[in-house]
Amino acid sequence: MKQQVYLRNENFPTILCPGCGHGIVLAAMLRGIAKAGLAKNEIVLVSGIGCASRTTGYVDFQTLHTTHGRALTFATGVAVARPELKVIVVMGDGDATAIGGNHFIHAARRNVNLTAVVFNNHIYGMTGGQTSPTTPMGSFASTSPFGNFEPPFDIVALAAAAGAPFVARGTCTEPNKLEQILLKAFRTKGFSVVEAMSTCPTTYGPRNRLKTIEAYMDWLRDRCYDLGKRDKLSPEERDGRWACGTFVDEPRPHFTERYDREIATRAVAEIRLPAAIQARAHAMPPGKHEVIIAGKAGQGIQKLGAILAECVLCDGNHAAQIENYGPAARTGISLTEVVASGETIDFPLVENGTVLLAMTREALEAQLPRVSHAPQPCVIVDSTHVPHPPRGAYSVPLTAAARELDLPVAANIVLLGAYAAISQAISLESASEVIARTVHRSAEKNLAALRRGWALGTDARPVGA
Amino acid sequence: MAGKKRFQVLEDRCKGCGICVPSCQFDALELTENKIRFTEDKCKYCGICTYHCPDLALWMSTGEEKELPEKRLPPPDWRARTVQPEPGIHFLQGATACVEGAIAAGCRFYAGYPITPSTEIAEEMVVRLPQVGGRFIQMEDEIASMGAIVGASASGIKSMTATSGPGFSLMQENLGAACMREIPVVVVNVMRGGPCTGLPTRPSQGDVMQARWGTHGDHQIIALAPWSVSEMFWLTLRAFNLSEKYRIPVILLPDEIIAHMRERIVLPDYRTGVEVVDRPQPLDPPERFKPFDDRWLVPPLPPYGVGYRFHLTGLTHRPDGFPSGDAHVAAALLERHERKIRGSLADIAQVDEHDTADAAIVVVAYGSVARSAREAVRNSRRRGRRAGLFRPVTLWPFPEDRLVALAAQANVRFVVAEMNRGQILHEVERLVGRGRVSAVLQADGNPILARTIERAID
Repeated sequence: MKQQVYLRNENFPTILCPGCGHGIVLAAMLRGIAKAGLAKNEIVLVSGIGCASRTTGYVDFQTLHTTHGRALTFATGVAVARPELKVIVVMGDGDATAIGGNHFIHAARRNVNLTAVVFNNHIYGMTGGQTSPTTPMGSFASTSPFGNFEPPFDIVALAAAAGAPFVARGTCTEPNKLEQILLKAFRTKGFSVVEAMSTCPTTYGPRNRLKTIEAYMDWLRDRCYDLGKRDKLSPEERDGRWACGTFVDEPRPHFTERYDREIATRAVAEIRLPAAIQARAHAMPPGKHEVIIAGKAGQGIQKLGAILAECVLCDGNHAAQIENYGPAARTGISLTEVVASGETIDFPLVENGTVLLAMTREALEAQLPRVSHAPQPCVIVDSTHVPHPPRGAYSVPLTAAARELDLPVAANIVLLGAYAAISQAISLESASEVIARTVHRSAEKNLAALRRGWALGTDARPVGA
Repeated sequence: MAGKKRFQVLEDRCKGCGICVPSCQFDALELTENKIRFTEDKCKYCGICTYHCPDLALWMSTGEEKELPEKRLPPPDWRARTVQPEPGIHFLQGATACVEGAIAAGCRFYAGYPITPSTEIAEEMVVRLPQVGGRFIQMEDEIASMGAIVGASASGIKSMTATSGPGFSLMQENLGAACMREIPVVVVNVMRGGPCTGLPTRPSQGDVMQARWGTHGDHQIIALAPWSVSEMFWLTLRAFNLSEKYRIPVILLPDEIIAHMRERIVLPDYRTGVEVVDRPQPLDPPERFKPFDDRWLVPPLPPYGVGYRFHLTGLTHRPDGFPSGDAHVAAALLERHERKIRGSLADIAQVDEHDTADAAIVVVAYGSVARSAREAVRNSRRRGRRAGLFRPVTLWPFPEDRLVALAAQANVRFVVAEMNRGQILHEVERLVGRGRVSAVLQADGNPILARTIERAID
């Protein structure tokens, strides 16, 4: 028998109870694998926790017995990381549709290239017979002592609705047909689901008047009917029974296929990696420059912080920058902090502000106290938005200048130029270089904005001086 | 050529359920005293009964079976493709440096779920991995992310995830899955204010104990705490190297400040400028291979597909990987886990010390707090205080020996500064004695300032 070739014979007998349908499903899987011509080394059999999941211990593949409900997550990792392997997942009904229900629908939606086999015996067998999401209504379980009143999942309908390209149901009472269904599933590229109706003669049968294995198998055989006969049966005749056959067989490109074709090629072709910074030697005024840049969202505050700090590095000095962000992306004050120094920086955040670059009145008012303890704070404000600048501040028409250049969003770059001229903390050469490196759109206009800011800053005098 | 048809009941497998009996149309099988009796004369060798046996106890040969295909896949090679930013000076965010460290270490799979403040790592990985022949997947939650990286790494691909706060809590069960199966993975937890949703955008160091004991049961773990963008690169690389060398999950624990700040970093050439460790590979042929072979402290772990077929389970297992409830097996397994980490403290536990040689007061701090502490130590020294900084780079296992050595000098006092209500504090108190330790503890979402630590030094 071909199925015997795939066994770890030394681990037998199985821990499954006498008459458990799971062993029949396992044997059908092994025959299907043999017919599919799969080699032992290319099969990874992944399982969750429960009776069905113990089957991985008895078969001679790469076997991964995982955590309860999570088999599909581990399997997704294997299938996506190593697409050359054939991944098969074994789960129970509770495993796949209760604790693992979320993973089940997402694996189907993504169309991960693997076969999921759900051994459905309608109960949690290993823990002693509790109600599962597939326990039929009215059936008894240790946690349904008065009969189950919750409607069960239809695993086939669930998988189909979630987008699985192959969905089928078979039963352990018809092992040959089950094998054929499994073979089709193994040959499918993409996420294939087989619900295998099974039994639990230890915990389900005795509680539900199926006291002998024979009676239980007869009951299941009677409850399972051929999908081809579905239309001939009345709704009453179909009620509480399971059609067996192939429900969905519509292959489409799976996750890894599409990833490699559509994503990977673009990431290689379109994304350039940065060149290294060639640092020059520009001596910045001594001490720690603790710069607060504030304005409103959309003014390019964060971008300015990053550009300023990179300019400092280009000058051969040290800088740290941090974005200050909250849950709202487009409301409230936008704030970034840059600490710059000719020496190594320990604490990377602004503790005692020395510079405030404010692009709105609200930002100025909120942040001004943070620089008020500095002996000679450098405060630059946008005169377009701040009508009454404080004494000692530099009031520069940032937005007005940017509008004149026909690029209003470049007010932040005008500010960079003005700050460079006023503070001498960064060189104009580095600023030009960083803008050329990091601003990809309208680079020429941004460079003009930088020069305009430099000129405005050179001429600027503190308010009240 | 047709061989002889044979049929056999494997009695040690048969549990006597009797399902096969009605499946035989020729009455060749009968159940007596819970055992199947086979009458050869009646058998027509149709094999149908073997389909019905739940114990796989019925064996039949038609004599015409073909040999199964024997196929070995080539092992995956992460070195096949390396694309990197130009070596030299860069201005990078901590998250980006972390991603580059992972790429340099050979990480070729990432699974994650968006959560502040770690999301930038995923947003960089999604672009970088395909450039080097790796793959990225955004999973449905952090439970799935952790499962996926353990699966991918078991298959032979170095893997990583990144998360924060609530996401780290969700990862704990499958983190234990990696511990028990000894699967190397790297988990980056960018620490934000907690508990629960807490302060999602603010820094914290509240997950230090969770990193050590978050998953259930006795287990070993390695956790590293970077304090700069540069260390985000080098410690991510080290995290991968340690995880591969010791077959253990390694947790990188940057606080929000370190992951989000941008500063100078000198990127090396990934081919020539970094040392990369890959997991030990078996020398034994497949038939003698055991995935938890206790002849080694760190047993070899081959990739899937190359001919080694083994079982990985979260159940307590024997050296061959199969479950066992034996007390000696359980004790020996956990004892080996412990020895492989505790026995290599000198290799794993890293410390960075500043001005400790003559220090009368030693500040113990890690992550961004250590930067405030270094500033505080410098300022205190200028004022004549003999202050020093002890920065555990490896948080778990804690670098005990070095701290105990410092404490051996009489009259040395310790100040523990951390952004939580006291976690490493207890470790320090345990090692040097409670009477010698004071603490600067702050868990309000704000960074600890140098002047706060300076006051504690005074």
